[in-house]
Amino acid sequence: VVDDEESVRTSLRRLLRASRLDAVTFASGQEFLDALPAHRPDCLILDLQMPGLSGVEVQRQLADRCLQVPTIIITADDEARGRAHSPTTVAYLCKPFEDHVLLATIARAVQPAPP
Amino acid sequence: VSRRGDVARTAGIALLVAAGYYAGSRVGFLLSFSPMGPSVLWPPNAILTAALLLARPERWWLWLLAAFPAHLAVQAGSERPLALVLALFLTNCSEALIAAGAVRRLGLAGPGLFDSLRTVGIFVACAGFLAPFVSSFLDAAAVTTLTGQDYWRVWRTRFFANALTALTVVPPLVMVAGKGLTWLRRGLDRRAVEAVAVWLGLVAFGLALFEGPRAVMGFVVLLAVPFALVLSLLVLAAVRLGPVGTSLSVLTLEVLAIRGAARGQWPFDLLSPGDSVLSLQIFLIGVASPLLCLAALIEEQQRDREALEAQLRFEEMLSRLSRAFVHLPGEEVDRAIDVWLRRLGEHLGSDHMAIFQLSPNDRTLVPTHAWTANGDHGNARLPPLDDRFHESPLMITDLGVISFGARRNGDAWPPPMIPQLRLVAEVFANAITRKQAESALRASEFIKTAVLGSLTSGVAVLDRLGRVVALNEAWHRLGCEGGSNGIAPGATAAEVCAHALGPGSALTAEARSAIEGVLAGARADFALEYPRASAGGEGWFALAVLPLNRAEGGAVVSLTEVTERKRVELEAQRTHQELAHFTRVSTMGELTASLAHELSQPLTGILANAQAAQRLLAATPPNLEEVRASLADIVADDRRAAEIIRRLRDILKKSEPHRVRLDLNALVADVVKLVGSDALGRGVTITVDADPGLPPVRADRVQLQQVVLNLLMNAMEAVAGMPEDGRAVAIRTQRLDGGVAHVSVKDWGPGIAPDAAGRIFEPFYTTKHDGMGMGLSIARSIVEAHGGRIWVSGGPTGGATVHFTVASAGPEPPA
Repeated sequence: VVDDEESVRTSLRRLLRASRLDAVTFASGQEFLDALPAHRPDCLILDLQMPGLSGVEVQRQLADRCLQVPTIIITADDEARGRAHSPTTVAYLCKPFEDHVLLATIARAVQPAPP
Repeated sequence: VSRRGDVARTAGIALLVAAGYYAGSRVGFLLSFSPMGPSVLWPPNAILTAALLLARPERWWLWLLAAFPAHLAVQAGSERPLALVLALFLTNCSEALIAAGAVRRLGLAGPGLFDSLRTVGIFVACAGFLAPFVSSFLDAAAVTTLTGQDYWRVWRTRFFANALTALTVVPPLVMVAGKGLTWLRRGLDRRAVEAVAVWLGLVAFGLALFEGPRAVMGFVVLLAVPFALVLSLLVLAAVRLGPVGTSLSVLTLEVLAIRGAARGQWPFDLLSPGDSVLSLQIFLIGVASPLLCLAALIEEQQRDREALEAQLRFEEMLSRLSRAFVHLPGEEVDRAIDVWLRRLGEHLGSDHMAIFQLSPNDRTLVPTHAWTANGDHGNARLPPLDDRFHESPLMITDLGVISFGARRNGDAWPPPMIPQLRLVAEVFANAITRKQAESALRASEFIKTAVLGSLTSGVAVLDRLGRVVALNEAWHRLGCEGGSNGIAPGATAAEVCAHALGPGSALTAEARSAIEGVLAGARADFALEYPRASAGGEGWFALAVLPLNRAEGGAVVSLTEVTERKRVELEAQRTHQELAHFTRVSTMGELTASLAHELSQPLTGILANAQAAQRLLAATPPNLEEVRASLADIVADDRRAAEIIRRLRDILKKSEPHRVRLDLNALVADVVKLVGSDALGRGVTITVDADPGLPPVRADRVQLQQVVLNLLMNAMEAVAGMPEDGRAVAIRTQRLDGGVAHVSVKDWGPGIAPDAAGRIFEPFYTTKHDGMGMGLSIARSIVEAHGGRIWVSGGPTGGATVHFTVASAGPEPPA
């Protein structure tokens, strides 16, 4: 989970762990990218609007490194959807969102791609 | 005309003198006891003397010349040689010349000669003694030389005859001819009966005396009885009838005595004719001289008494005049002057009295008050001042000239009266001056009253002690209706305040102490605007106190109804507030997206935490520790959301301006948080540099938030076109000298064009394609309303900084 909002990070980590998922949080895109070699996630939950590196920039750098991580974009700004179009994007979720939607989306994201 | 009239008059008098001389000579001859004997009287000389006494010396030769033909005519019948006739004329003339010359030499002339003892004495000495004495020598010399008569006998005859004639004939002639009608009018009117009675008595007793004892109504009485009665009547005439009556009485007695003597009645039958004549002459001279003196003395005393009485009456009149004008109201002065001009004119026997005032415009003299003896009261009848007034006393005052006219009896104004006339003039002049001053004062008072009365503001004038000395009509209208029954002159400053503000108003005490401060000179002025219940609902009033501009001190309190102005002001303020609110709402509209973003963060946290908690509780065993932590996070997130909403509500709410003591740093931080999301969305970095020493300010929170918000939004828009890493805005607070709080918002945008810098605070001026142009205009009016100022700095290339200041709130008031 990459989000500059601490309450969002904490609450999502708590929700995901309560749903028996292993979740690691990062306060900025740079922090996430720096930790990437050690922690290659199955699914990335990425906030778009962040100081420093924005969500779009993080996705661009992942693409630059040829890393295809299924990504769920969470944003408060519905209009930002268009700006963050990437082939790895599984879904856009508008804050705040329901837990079952998030979990279903994660489930869909981590499913092996159909042959 | 005047010259011709003069010649005719002179000729008439000459004819009269000639006729008198002739008639007098004839009478003289008749009064001789024998054809060649001596005359008792010789009237021609007396007639000449009287004529000369009444005329000016330069005319004497005329009368003497006129008498000459008469003398020749008289002498034509006699057998006297021509030389004697001529010599007698010369001696006759010499007597008249000596008498008149001596009298004239002593400064006397005219009919007044017999009005005083001194002048009568001089007349008796000169005309009754000196002239006959001297001329008789010439006469006797001529007669003796030409006829051979005894010199001393002739001298004695001539002397006594001439002396008697001078003493008894000259006075009645001079007085009757000189006083004429005046004497008749004055003397006979008053004492006609008395005079006629005395004269009849004199004739009766004279006849008794000189016709002898047999003739008196069958009674034989002692001769001393008619003699005593005759003398008594003569004395009575001297006492009662004045010099004229006395001289006529003496003349009457003289005629009777000569008649008696001529008839040879007793006692003249005992004497020779010559002795009889001499006795008679001496008797009559002896009677005439003291009687003339007595009459003159009495006349003199009576005249003195009358003069004194007249003087006293005039002085009493002056005193009444002065009293009458002392306290006379100005509007009655003119009428009183007219009345007094008439009284004075009548009293003084003047022909007119007039006041001429200097006209203020062309400095000419204009008649303003006049009285004339013939009843013409109109000013128009008065001739121009310089024509007729040259002989009347003119009193010149500051106002103009007062003319007292000429006296109707022809007398000159006595010199002692001149200072009194000056007093009269001064009384009149003072009264007129006072009248003019009063009317000027009234005019000025009228103007003041009219000005005060026409003011729409209430005005109360207070004296040094704070007592009302004047109130205008408007004050009564504007004063408080309830509780106080109005105020009147004499009211105190406290009553004035209670009447203006209402008795229960909290401001009353403040206004009262302000008035006392102005009265004491401790403060220059005071002004207060306040709402107060009035007839038409609540009204607004303005009370102002200013010192009264005069040496005695005092104050002017004005009370003006300003409800309408206040309504317009409040309306404008409300409009302004609404506009400000509208602008705030618009600004917030721009922030909606970022605010939604801002709000979505805690909401996301709350929802996720809550659902996590549900899952944690559903697990077995439930992880209560983690549930507790998520509930705590929910509370924190909720508070955070509430804080965002509070800020939003604060700035969007529509409230009356309300100034409080506030910390400008906290206010700036709030607004920065409000725009934080938006800045994030725009990629703008906002840095805050807050001065911890910033003084607290007294301000309306929402209004100042609006200013800071507006400046920040402008700054963020200014940097929108810059590269992402250059989009920076810095807000800084600073304490300036004098405890002023200073806030500046700096951007690194393209800067402001020089021609725009001067206009950005004007309403409806905008450089944005969708701006309304009200933001900075409203910001400026808010800052200025808080006693601060707002300005922009920075060049056209290096970004822009907008600054504003707010006055410090001052020290914390005691709790």
